[in-house]
Amino acid sequence: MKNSRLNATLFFVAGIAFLILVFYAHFQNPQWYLPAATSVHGLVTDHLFDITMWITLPVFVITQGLLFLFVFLYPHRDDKKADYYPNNHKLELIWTIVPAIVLTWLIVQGLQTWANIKSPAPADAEVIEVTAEQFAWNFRWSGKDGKFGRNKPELMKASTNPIGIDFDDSLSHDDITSKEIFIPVGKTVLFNIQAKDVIHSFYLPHFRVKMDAVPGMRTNFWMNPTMTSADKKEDVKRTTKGLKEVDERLYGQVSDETYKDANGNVIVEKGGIIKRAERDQNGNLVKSTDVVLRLSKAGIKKIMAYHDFNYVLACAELCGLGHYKMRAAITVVTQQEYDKWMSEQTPDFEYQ
Amino acid sequence: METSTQTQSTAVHSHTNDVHIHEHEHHHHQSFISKYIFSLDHKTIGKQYLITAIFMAIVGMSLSLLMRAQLGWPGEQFSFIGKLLGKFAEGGIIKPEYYYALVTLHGTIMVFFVLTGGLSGTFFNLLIPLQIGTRDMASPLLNALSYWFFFASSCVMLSSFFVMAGPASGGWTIYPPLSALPEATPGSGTGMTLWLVSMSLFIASGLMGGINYISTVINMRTKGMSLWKMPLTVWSFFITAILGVLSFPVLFSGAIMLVFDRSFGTSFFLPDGLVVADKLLNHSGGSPILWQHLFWFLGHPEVYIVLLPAMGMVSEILSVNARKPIFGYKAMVYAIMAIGFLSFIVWAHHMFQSGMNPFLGSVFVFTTLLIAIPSAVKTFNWLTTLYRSNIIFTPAMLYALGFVSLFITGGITGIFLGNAAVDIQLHDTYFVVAHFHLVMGAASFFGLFAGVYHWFPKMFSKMMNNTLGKWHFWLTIISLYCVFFPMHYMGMAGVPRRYYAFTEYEWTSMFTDLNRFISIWALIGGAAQVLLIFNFFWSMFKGKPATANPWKANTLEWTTPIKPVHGNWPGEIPEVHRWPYDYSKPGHEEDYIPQHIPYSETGSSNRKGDY
Repeated sequence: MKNSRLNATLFFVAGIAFLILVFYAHFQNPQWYLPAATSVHGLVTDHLFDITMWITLPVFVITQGLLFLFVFLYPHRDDKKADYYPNNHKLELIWTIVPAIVLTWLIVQGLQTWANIKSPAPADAEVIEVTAEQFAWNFRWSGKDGKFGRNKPELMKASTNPIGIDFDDSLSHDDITSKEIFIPVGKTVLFNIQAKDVIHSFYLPHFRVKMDAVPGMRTNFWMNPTMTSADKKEDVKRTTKGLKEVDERLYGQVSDETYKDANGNVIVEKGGIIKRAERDQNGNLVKSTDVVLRLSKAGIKKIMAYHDFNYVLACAELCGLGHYKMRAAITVVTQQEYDKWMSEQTPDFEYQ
Repeated sequence: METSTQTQSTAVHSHTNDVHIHEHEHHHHQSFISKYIFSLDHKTIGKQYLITAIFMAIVGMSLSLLMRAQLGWPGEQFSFIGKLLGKFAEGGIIKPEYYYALVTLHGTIMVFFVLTGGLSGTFFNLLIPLQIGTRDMASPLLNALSYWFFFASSCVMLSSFFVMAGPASGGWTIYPPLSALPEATPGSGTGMTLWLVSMSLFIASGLMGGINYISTVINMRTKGMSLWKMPLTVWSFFITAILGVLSFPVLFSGAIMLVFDRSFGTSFFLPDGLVVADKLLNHSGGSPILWQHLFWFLGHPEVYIVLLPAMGMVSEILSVNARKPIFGYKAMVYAIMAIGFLSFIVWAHHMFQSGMNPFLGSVFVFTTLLIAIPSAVKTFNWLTTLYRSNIIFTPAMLYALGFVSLFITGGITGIFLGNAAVDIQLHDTYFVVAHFHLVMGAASFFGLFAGVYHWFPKMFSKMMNNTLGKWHFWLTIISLYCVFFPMHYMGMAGVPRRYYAFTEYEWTSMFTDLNRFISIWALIGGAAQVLLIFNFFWSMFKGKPATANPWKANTLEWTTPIKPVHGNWPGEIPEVHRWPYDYSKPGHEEDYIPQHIPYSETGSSNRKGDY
């Protein structure tokens, strides 16, 4: 049967092409594979991810490979009969017990890691209170006394007192609030997380921190950042800098040189972000503000550029219309910078 | 040898069927309405489910393409989308409130209306009576009611597209408080009410169907059809029906509680001190986590309610077209049972990062990863079934093979997600989107496709076009992999799911071109489905006439007349003598021996210890 042969071959070729593409895609874009974590526990979970990958990747290749191979080897022939091979207890026992052993090992690894991550935070941890609301994050530090003042739902006003701090409680008088997170590198930080309205999720992708912010209860997560924002920015710049083709992939990257058009007008400065077209008041795209368009118009084919990097806090639980832009900045600084920043803050109480 | 121990427990004989024979002889002249609309015949009801599901699938898929248009070309103005959606996409750009409605309704429609209602409704109805040898369901009336509840719930769900504030937009999991508070998001108004009404009807439909399937399989098998002679299709349908009956009521109770929270001032899921838009609400004492437990107590078995029937059909189709017995029949049955049982004790792996007690997470890591064992057994058994086989590449077979590939790819990523510590990074990201679309969405769809191509001749007495079927397969599987495989990378980087646009963050905007690539392949994959729809309706009228047993299969449905009759068999129901997988048995001239052929006629091929 010709048709059988064709489909068998197609299956085999497509299958092998699939496996090759999987690896090709990986080696073409190694930066896409689980970007390195910047927290102590994150390195451990990444290691667990890698272990799982090393166990499952061969299984993936072998089982898919066998599937394609068998399909290729046994297309229908009228002159032949399939093997009558209904069962084999030994084989079945093997592929029940072997996965069971491997999985048991993985489970043990996973549970140990999980237990460590979820163990109580060290007593000297820097505590930050996180309050999520549609669609903003609020942070509070306890100040010099190391104790947070009460907060009350009835006092919550998004514009003036989003956390609802009760200033009748004297513990609140030195509490410091911010819309951004500052934390010192190499020190344990404990986030106590709550939500005002709906469920949000406190997600720091680079630090492998994710914990839902649930109304009516407090959740927490602690971690230890390993790299300051400045160091990480430099690191990303170093690894991503290069001559890059002028196309839309450049959006959001940083130009490493100043580029001008034929008339000498600056298109993008050294250190400037390569921006998309902006919109005017009517919502129409203004093409002259699009850096990539201007570069290609000026006949520039390639430019030196690198990726910008900022740590970020994102919401990871659907919380309404603004969910996709419910972000906050998180900056990791050295202990000295942190102490300096802290000393410059004015407690909210003093604004009252 | 194997059977002798089993026959006692399943000594169900055909006396019930004898009664039916006499009844059915009076029923030859039926009006159009009683024959095609309010039919009580399981085969017609199966077709009704299928046609409804095809319509719902087209809607569900179109919603996903609209989402992909937004994600692939954020901010681009598509004038036809503007015309289609009106105020929800002014200037041709989909608004966030509508995007979230798309997310919600795509998930709801695909999971419940296509892959649960559609897939189960179609094939359970068609195949259970035909494959176990009975004239209809235990209760044909309940069966018809089940379909009409399904139809009504589909109508209510679709009607939510036409309410002012738009359909529900809290995701298919509708976590409160978001879904409970209309002030929190526009979709939580009338749209959410309709969602809950629709799902309540849907669950009622599912229960009527489920009870019926279970009692039919238990009570109405033909003479000789012991449990251990049932095809794997029926086994998987049977276990699936049990899962549905045990888990759906829990969602029902959750939905009722949510209705009370929304409309009658209770606080099951709403805690003290909720402040929405600076307004303090006076709910008290509820827990949002409670909803998640109730939802996922259904939600996880639901995954297997969707997947197990596909597995059963794939096992059957693989064996028929490989012309080889399914390898490890009993192990396959035990694996179905194990998966079914485990599916009830893994639900909280959807909640590792929800704030529930981390110790509970540990327990669920353990149970979740255990599911990989029966899954591995099934995969290896399918592969061994193909070893030294004699494969006929029908479109159904291609889909069955594609199922195995998708199941492996999507199943393996489950091992990452099932480990709570690794899940911290991957939870609610595109890694999850890739995982469940491959292992449950696409794989179950492949089961559905395989079933449609394989049993079309039984449904419509016509053959589908093979060439179109094969083109459909190749375009579909290539686009599926191109759509979902790259999403793993986005997930590793931590790109969250349910984002209206990825342009707000540097760390997500690096995937701009990847997202466009995905969107383009989604469009190709979507367009490829036209081949199936055309093939389906064209073949129904113009297809080649079917032969009695076009795939040379062993199961009982192929012993019925080509033109289906009410009561299925014009004469007596055949008696079953052997298991359904006697393919390529040495000593027998042909490469198949149907179940109703007694051993006395196959002396040359009988062997010691025959099933």
